[in-house]
Amino acid sequence: MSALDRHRRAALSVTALAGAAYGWWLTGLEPFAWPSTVAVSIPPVAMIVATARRDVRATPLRDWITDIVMTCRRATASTRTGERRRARAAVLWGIVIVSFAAVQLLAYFAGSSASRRDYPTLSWIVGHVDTRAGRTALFVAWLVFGGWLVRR
Amino acid sequence: MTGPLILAAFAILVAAMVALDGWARWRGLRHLTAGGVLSFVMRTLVGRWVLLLGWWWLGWHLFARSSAG
Repeated sequence: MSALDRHRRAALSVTALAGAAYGWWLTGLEPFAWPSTVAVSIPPVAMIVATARRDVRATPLRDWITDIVMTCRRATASTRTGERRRARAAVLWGIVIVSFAAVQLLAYFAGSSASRRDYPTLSWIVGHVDTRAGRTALFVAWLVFGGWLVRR
Repeated sequence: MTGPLILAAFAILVAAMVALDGWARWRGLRHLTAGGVLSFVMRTLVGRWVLLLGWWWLGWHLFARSSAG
């Protein structure tokens, strides 16, 4: 293992420990109060500011939509089997994501806070993790996911 | 009665995502993994900000609005 790898691994371990300690402290704060709101907002703000200077080359929305339309066409019209299969997988991703959002919205709007057992939403399901250690683990997972997102 | 149905729908959709991601990894199609799909959404400025603000909102919703029992 090179010195750079060792440094990277050490930095990663320290960051993971700091994230877990921060999560442990945060999950003990009183809910619906400004300290918990501020504490949850600090990592996203820090991460977004730290990466905002990066030169991210964005695709124009019109090109992006054209890309999706072309993929849908390839999924049905392409004569090349491999290309058609890949396009179908991309379309399937779209269907799964839209369905997931639809089920969540349906449960949210059809139910109320009193009838969540009959209309469970994702946050109601996740809410069953009610131990501090479990919530800290969820917080670290949320942090890691956010870190991955801002590096895209 | 609707509760188990909704839970089953979530479970099936999560299983579908895992299966699609696994298939894409197995075939070496990086752009069709879960990460590849998210990267595709983040290619536009709108998609990037929707995902980042969505992530922020999720954290606030899960951790600032509820507490450990």
